[in-house]
Amino acid sequence: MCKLSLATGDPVADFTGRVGDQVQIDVHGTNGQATIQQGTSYADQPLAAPWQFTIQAGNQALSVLVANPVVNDTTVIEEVCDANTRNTLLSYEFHPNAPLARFIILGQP
Amino acid sequence: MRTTSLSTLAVLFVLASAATAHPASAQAAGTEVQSCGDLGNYAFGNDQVAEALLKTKDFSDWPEDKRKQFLALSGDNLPKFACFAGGAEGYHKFLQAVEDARLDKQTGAGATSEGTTSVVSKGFVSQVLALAVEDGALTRTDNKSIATFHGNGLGIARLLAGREQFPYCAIYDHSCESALARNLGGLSFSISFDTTPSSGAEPTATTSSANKGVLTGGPSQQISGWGVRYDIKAPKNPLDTQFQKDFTDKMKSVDGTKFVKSVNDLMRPLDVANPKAYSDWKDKYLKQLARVSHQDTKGMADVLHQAVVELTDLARKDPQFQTKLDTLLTEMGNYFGTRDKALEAIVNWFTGSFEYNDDRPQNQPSQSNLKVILSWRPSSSGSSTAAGPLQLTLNASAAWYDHAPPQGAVKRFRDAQASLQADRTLPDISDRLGAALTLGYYFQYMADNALLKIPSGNLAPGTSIALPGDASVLLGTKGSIHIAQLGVTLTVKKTGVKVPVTLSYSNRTELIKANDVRGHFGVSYDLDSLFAGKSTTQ
Repeated sequence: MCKLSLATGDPVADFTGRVGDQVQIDVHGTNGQATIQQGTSYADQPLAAPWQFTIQAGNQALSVLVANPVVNDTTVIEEVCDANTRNTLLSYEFHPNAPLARFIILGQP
Repeated sequence: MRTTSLSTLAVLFVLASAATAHPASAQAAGTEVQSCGDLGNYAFGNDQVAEALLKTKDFSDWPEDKRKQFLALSGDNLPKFACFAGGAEGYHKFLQAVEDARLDKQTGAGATSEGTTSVVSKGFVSQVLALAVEDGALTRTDNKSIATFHGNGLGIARLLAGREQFPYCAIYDHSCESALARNLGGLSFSISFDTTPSSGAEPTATTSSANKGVLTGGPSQQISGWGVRYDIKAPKNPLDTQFQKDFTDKMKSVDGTKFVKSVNDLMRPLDVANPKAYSDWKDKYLKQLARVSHQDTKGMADVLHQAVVELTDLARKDPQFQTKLDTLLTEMGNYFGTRDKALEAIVNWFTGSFEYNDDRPQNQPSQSNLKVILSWRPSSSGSSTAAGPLQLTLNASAAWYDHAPPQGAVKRFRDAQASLQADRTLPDISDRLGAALTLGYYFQYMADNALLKIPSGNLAPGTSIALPGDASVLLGTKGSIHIAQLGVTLTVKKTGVKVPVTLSYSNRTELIKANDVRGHFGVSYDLDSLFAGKSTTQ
């Protein structure tokens, strides 16, 4: 079951989730082997593979540092909901001059 | 006199280039859009998430998540905001950090020039100008102080065109530069000046060691050499499976923690800690963009420019904003430069250079040298060790006298040379001091005896016989020269200063057949790093 939902109507938060839920993220490219890089963090805490974090209360930043060997490759950052389900957080054209994607996640009780 | 005219012109050119590179005044932050590379259509706006939508649909018709992401402090908007808020000074701070993180540059005279610590000409040259002052010779028998300027065709062209001379392009973004820029970037030149004051003494030969006596005297020449060079690179296909695997492996060694932290430290007061003001700002510009047609590019540009101006004003309410911004620009540059350095070994499957040099050694006729340089890195070297990758550089060259020697003296073809050098970056000694190890072997075959230029009226070595012409032949110098060299180069980070220290052994020099062991010490100043912090758009 996916833990993150679009924060509709909120100009600041991108997604909402329930405080205490654990979320795992991943990335893939269309033509390139996109990978999540060291430095990726949630609520200012660095993450490590398999890139999991626990949702905290209020607005917190999820910062995902990505590398893709193919410039302008369509890249997808996603939540790993279960073995068969993934929830797209962002689909974009990767550029090496802008490798960091930030999301504001609103943790609610 | 020809030499004086050439040296005067060269000095004037260098001074003119340096003068145009020096900014008349610092650009005010937030008044001019600076490009931290190629970042898309507008001063603000996350093009990554909406490239197709920008061209086809009005903003009001975009999905809500795309509209929010377009103005979010994410993706393209991070470097755009940082460069806008930082202005020219900030952009150059970013470039300085990129430059510091990159290595593998040559800032010294080549092996055949008088006074050098490097046996081998490496595969890279500074982008605009580099000043190297070195002390000591490798294959000559006299010691001199040589000041060498290296210039790059692309950097000079941008200086003269008044455009930003150092736009950042990721090392594997081959579409970033135009074909003209790529070709100009491969072209470089150097000119060396002899900074030793002329003794004015005429060479004399009165003892059995006349060769050495003649060589240490005589007038010095103001220009001791010049050269041109063209570099070629063969990039790998980014879709190649092995390249992608190598890319992923190399990126494991690149740590973005400080970069990400610096971004979050700067942005937290906006989108996390102060959501009301940021929310009002975002709401305002979401509505303004919704009123502009996607075909009205000027309207879009005006709204987005105003958006980043207001966002900057909002951000500056944080009393630590400037410090955090400076840190971000530095850490972003460091991350990009470190990434480029890590990927350098795998981006091109080989690099090659073709180089022509004209040398004017003291008391020898002027001579030309044509050289081919190949550079490559073994694919598995250094990828998982604390030390950097191993780089191998191979040179092959031929030299000849510019003018035919006196009839029957020596052949016009002078010598053939070959060399092999291995370089390896060592773990940093401290936060401010880096080091690299160099091991080299140099071979030279003298096709005939060396030709010594002695003005008319001087004595033949060891005799009282006046020489009839302007050249004389030193006997017994034909044959092979072998040189082995071991060295360490210390780099003082963030200063552009490098200190090469080398020890070399040779079985003979060009003019004297005797074993020679030398230590060399030099200091080089990389004006690329200094100019990257001083150049301006005009």
